[in-house]
Amino acid sequence: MILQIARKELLAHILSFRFSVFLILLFLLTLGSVAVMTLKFNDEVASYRDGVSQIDRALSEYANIRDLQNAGLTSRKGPNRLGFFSEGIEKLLARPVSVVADTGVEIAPTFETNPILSLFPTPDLIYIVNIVLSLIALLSTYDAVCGESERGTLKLVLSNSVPKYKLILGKWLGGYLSVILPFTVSVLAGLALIFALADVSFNSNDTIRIILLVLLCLIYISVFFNLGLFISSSTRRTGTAMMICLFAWVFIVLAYPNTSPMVARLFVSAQNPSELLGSIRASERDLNSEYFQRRAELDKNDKAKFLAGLHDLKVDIGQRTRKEKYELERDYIRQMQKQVDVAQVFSQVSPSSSFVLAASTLTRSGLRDYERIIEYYDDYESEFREALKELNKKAGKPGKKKIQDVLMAKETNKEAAFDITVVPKFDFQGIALEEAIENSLPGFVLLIVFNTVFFLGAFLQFIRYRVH
Amino acid sequence: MLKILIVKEFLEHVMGFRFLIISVLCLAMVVTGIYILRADYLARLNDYEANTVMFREDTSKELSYRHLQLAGTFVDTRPAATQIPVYGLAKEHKTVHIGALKLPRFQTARSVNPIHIMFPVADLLFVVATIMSLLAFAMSFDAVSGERENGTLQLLMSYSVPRDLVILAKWIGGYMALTTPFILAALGGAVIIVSSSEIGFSVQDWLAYGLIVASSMLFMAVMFSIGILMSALFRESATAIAVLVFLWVTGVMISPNASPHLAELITPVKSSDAIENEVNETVAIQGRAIRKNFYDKKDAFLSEYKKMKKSKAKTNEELKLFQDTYAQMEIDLRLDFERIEKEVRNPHTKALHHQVNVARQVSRLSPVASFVYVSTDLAATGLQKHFDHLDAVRNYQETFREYVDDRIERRNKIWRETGEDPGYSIDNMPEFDYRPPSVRDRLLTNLVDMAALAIQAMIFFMASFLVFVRKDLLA
Repeated sequence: MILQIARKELLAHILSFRFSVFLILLFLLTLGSVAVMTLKFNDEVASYRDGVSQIDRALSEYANIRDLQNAGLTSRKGPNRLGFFSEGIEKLLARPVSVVADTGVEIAPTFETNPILSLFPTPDLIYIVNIVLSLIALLSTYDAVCGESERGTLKLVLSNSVPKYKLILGKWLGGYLSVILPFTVSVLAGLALIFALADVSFNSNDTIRIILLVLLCLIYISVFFNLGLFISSSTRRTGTAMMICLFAWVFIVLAYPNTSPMVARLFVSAQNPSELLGSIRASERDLNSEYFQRRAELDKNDKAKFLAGLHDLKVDIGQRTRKEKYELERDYIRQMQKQVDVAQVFSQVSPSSSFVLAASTLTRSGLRDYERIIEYYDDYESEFREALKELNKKAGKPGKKKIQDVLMAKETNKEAAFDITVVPKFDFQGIALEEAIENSLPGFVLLIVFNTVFFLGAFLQFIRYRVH
Repeated sequence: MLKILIVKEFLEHVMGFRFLIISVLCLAMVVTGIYILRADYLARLNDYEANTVMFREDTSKELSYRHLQLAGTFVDTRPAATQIPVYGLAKEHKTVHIGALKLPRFQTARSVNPIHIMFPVADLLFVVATIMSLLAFAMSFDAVSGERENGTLQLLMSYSVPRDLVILAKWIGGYMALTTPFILAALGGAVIIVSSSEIGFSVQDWLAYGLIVASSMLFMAVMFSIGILMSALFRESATAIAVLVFLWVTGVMISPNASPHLAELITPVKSSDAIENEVNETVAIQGRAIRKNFYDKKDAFLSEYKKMKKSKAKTNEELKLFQDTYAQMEIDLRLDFERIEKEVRNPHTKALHHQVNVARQVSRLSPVASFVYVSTDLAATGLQKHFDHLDAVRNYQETFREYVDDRIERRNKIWRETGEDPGYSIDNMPEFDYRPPSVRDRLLTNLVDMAALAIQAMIFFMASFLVFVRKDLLA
């Protein structure tokens, strides 16, 4: 019986004018978005590869290890294979970093950036699901009950021997299928487009993430579908239902998610990034003047002793500078993390935020990945230092090689001054699959809770619905 | 007659459920947004002032002008008070490194709050562009079709009321009902701004605020007219709202975001990563010859220096001259590298500027994108200020370079003449005090777009007028 009703509902939806508009919109948007993201991705891959080969060449052109120590390296993580679906905070993760022995890992300075891209959000798949599909889901159910009641067909159906609960279940199933079928098809078409255009291959880890992401989208769409059903069975007139749906949607998808992180800032205060920069520079200055002061106090008569003392002093000041910087930054990050956590809890009252947060975690561009990359900066820095130590050990005393000879050698493709394979690559991988699943679990659970609440609401309201 | 009709329309809206929701949403969001961004602005201002003092102090602690020349200085940009209503590009806060021998570089901290990248800021602009635009449709979709469905339109037509007055009254009354909550919210925002004395909104800022509110009103007029047109075109209000929601999704949520990508197709530019790669490549290749040349010269120079030291015929002055020449050699090397970098970057800067202009042209198709550009420009947090600021930074680098060169020359002159070092002081160093373009300039740059908004509002209203007047309403 339920299946029969579902089939009828599905057909009724598919044959409607609304459905064909949705279908066209969905297809155009998904394919358009995937095409844009794919072109971007191919560009990124190409410039990433160029960048990597340039790093190798730069390394081989250094005349000695000291050059590496002083000039350091600028590199960044590879493009995100899952960035087609959700950009998340990839902008933040993909910033190039430079590592120098003295100052450690820092974000490389930038020159010109395209300002327009910061004025409007990127239209990725998650954006489309978040905004467009939620609206489509609501608009395809707002008249499911009250519309039939208005037309009088509800009375007719109920006069037959159809139990009310079967009717609502059938309506749910048929209507939901009519939304997710076109969605699934357009996602598959998008994937096909990615395989056709992009220079990418997904491993099993990626595949699991993509499947989970699609599942998350389906659950998210269902939340709005249930909400629409709930509103429809709580109202008598389609006009009213439509208005309530629109307002609910504006609140859930637009108003709340964007206001709540700002409100969270009122409750947890944190330093501003420039304040951090200020305190780091102040501490560097202090230590620097301490260095000069202590150097002046060194005994200059015994040259060997002076040099040894100077070396110790340099090492001491260097270590302390790094340590203080590290601690200041830890402090700052701890405060900021607290703010982010509160903002996350705050914003997840809206299913839209839960969805965006969970989706970006699944696509390796979530808040947890950012936490991890900040830790990774420190790991990378110590790896770099280790490599320098090892290289220095191998090299022994610096040779009397003339820099011009090295430069000439480069012209004739002679080998590098030191073993460049020892120098660590900046290879940030994001959080592991298990951790990503664990971190997106609250999102899944919350969305399921929203689903249950709205569906139960719709169910109860429909059971109590009085047909005139 | 018109007045009566307008009052009737207005009151009908005001009594309705929709008006209540619009008022609550609009007031709550605008006021919270302004309240929070006010705190953000004050923190920024505080930072800016502290940083400016700190950077100057840092610079004053350099050992000499030569050190200053190598190390350069840092500058911050004063936040615009108008970022409170329209945040725009203010989220991209960067400290600029200005070097005498290096192109200006924008520095960012390692750790920034990632949540603001995930969710856009809910400022006044966001409320108007996305929420009020949808609410404008929600307010107008049944203006004509709804009355027709109810049968009241037929009734109204049976009286001696001219049709043109009916549609005009519908527009004016509905538009007033839509904008009243917004004006109240904008006034509420103004009260919040006035109530904290630290903000110091200047007359210019108030002018900009007024213009932002005015352009918001224009934008809402466009959206409202589109809603009335659809309502007059379609027989059923359900169809009208479905079409409007479709238009809203494509026009507001999708097309502005797509316009930069469309512009990219029309005038492709290199991504910033690709530009960095090109710079590295060019610097590496051209730099090889320059560096080799430099080291050859340096070797020759040093051997001569040793000879001279041995010959004991040196005077202090000669030695000093030698040292200076050597220092100049190192500076020339750095300047050579700067020149190469500039040569690579300049065409890209121009191309990017061109692409941004194309994107602006393309996005004129959607009133939303026009409105975003206009209001961010008016608030000095948009594209105009972005490029103006870049120019100012470049100019300041030149000023700084001239200052340092002048100081070094002067110091050397005194040193040569009197044998005394005049010391190092940056009291006369020019400051980087960037002020955005004046409100007049901002308005003039955006006049076309504002006029375009007004014309669009007129066209859509005229269309709905014609449809309404010519249509067979009684069928």
